[in-house]
Amino acid sequence: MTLSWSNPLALALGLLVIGPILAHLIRQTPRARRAFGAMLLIRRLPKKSRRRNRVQDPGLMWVRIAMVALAGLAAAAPQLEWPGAVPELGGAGAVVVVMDDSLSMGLEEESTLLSRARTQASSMVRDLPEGTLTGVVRVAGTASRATPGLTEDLDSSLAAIAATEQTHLGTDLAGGIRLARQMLAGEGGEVVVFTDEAGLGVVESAQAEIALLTEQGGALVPKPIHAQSPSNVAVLGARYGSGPEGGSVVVTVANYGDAPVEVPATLSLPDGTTISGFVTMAAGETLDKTFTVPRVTQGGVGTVQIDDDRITQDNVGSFHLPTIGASRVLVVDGDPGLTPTASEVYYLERALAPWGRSTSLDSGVLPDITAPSAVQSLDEQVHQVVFMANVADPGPWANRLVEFVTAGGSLVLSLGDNVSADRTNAVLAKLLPTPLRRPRALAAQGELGVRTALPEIKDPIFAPFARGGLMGFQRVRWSRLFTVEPFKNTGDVRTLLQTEGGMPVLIERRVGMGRVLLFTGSLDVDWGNLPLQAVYMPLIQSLVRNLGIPGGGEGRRLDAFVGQAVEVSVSGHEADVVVEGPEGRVDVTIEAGMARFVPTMAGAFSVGSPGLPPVAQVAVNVDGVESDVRRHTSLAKTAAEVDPDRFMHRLPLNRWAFLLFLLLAALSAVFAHRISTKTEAQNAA
Amino acid sequence: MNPQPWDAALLSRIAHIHLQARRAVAGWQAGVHRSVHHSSNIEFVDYTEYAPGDPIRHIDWRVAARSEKLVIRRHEAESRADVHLVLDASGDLGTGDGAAKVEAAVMAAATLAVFVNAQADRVGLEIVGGHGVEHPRIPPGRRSLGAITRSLAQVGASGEADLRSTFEGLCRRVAPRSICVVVSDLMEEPGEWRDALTLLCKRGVDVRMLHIYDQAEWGLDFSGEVRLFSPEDESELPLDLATARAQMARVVEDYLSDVRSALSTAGANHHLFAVNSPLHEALGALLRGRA
Repeated sequence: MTLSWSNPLALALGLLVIGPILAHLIRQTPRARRAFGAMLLIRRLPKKSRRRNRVQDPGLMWVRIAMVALAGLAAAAPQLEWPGAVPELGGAGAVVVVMDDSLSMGLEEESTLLSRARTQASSMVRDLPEGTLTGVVRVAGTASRATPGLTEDLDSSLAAIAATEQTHLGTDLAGGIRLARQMLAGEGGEVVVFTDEAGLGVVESAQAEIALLTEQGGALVPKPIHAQSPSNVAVLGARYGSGPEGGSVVVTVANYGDAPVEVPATLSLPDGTTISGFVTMAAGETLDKTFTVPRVTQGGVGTVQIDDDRITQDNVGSFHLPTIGASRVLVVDGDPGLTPTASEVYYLERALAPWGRSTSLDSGVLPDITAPSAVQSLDEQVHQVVFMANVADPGPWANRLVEFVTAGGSLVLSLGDNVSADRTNAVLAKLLPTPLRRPRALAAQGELGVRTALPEIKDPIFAPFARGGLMGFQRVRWSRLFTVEPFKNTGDVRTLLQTEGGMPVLIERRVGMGRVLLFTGSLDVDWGNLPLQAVYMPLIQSLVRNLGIPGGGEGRRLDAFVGQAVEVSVSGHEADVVVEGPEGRVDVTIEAGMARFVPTMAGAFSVGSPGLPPVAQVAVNVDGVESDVRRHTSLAKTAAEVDPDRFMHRLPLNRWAFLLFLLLAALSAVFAHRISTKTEAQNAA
Repeated sequence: MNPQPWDAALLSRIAHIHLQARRAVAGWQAGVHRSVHHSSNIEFVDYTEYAPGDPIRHIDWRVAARSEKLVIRRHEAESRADVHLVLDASGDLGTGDGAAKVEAAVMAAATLAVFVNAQADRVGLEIVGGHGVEHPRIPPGRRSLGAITRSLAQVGASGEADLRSTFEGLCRRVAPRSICVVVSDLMEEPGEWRDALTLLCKRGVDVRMLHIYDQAEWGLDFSGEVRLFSPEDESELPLDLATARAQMARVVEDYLSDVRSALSTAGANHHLFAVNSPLHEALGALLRGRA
């Protein structure tokens, strides 16, 4: 709190306080004289008994000094100043209304905050003087102009305000002020912001724009729209992870209110299964609620919904869920061998169904062992993954395999002594990541072979090894591998596993909506020791789980926020690609083989052609920043840091000083009268 | 300016003063029959140290031979003595309610004059200060009482006493072995007049000081805020009454101590006489020569 003076020179009037002092010093000599015959004794008195500086009637003198001081004070026009004021509209001639239509403005309290903002903004615009230029800007998602520019037509601005709808988007306050500044075109004016100031960092991000606005002669007028008791419960996110049964979905829920809450939550899986529970949270708490997924369930995008009536738009969260317990794998045995252990299938079967077929349905993978001829009757609705193990001539079924993969299936090719490079290259050219050359011996008989390099655990296939076991790959040694034609790691072809010398061991290629994985070695113990290593079973399980997701690989499982543009490659399907959201089809634009759409609400979005497996599934969530409806940084405070002078409370004190002056004048008169009366009485005595 | 002989007020005042003085003397004369004068014969009183100017014939040579000191024998006087009345009528005595101090001083002087005259001693009067009339010195004489009474009747307090000059003048005019009764408020610093008084006493003059004062003044016993000024020179001194009252007793004590010291040094008797107090008590002590 500071004190400022409109007319500081008037403080010099304060020097007049000398007047009463002198007057009272002069008046110290009584009027009455008395002849005194013992002046000799008076002269002998100590000097301190002589009254030189004794002030006559000091009380009255102080009152008069205060009177003079107050008169000077009133003339100097002091005023107290302290920060925190919200400036009123100053009639600058141009006003841009910034409407916050973000998700948090949907907070319900009798009516929504946005509804109140619309009412206040409309009222303000109607009260503007005629001829005032007005414009409207909205700040949800990416700020946009609601009116093309400034206009004298108040009705168009009122219409734009009335047309402001609630969104599920975040707040682009900085962008909104930037657009408002551009509307004002450096001519000065006022930017009136109707916002709930919700969202951590939202207001701070606008400080630079406020500074620019101020530099250009504009002024920010914050109009905060606050709920009386801001509270909200929001789903901040959900993710599938490991856990008992078929795994766990961990839902992060936040309580942004100042009271504990218990809300019902319902987990909806892609196959329609729902799991209900309650989430109990303390005030301001954020916690993870864990739902256990059944052992068998269809993969896709699941959702979780809570029941909260403050802001309903952030009650939904979505997440990706792999197919669990239902991955049907067709294992084609190309080399049955004389003994069980001489066949790749022996090891594959135990890796895929370690507890036997009776429990494999629950364990996640159900392998079907078959001869190569069964490929002809391959059904995508039954099997998601086909293992071709050391098949000498896949030619008869090559076309079927291509159809299977293109439609979204996954094919794993493992090589061996039966495989002919020329034949395989010829019939599976559309599927092979790179043409085969020839088998190459990497170690002499009796030697251990070359080591396998550690894979990247960022790849979902190797993600299970993040918790341990990754070093086990170094124990995998290869005595023989197929060499392949050199290739470059691109978006569609990449090496997932290789030897320490750099020879590819596992190569992936995207084909249509499916994937092909090529093992350049054999999956038995003829060419290496992989089946005997600890990493074998989890690797095969992880392969099947990732490949078994309907719709294909990682690139087709997308996450996005509401309001964030989503782009999906739909090459070959441009004509009939549609996007299905929680409430039906969503507008989509397709350019250069890319489908682009902007989700406007949380939930599961599917991109694809009708009747075909989806090209991509998108789990869309709201930005948790908007859900935090608690007050963080005040826009007025932020603006005050930029332009402190406009955001000052001011209390003029001159009126009070004058009133006090009058009061003291009356008091002085009373004092003077009483003193005079008393003196006269004494003199008379 | 000489007063008109037929001034009725003056005549009335003269009669009043004379009557009052006679009444006062009648009241205590019976107890005071001895002469106020010490003489050289009749009845031995005591010895006193010889001072220059003392008659050599009064020296007691026997004592001088034994003690190697010149002493003079003193006796009760049979002869008539000269009594000089000195009245301080300076402006300071005109203060107080109804000019009480000067009135009291006049009455004391008149009473002494009547008494001395009744004792067949010669009495004279010298008025210091005063206003309205010239105050001629009235030399001691058996027939001076009328002039003294008339002069006292015309006294008004004014001017300054200047005790030092007064005592110096008395040294020149007053014969040794005379009695000098000074009626004054002694409102001059004792240091200023002490030496002159000492010289007077050394001349063999018996100085008796009737120190007149007003208790109300010495106690600053008056109300209201007033400016005090000296009636002699109109000078004013600022005063905080409340503080001064608290200090006044101490100041008066110091002042009296200085006065007594000066008088004692000079060899004069000191008799305090508060106005409004019985006159005969002060005069009785004065005539007996006791402080």
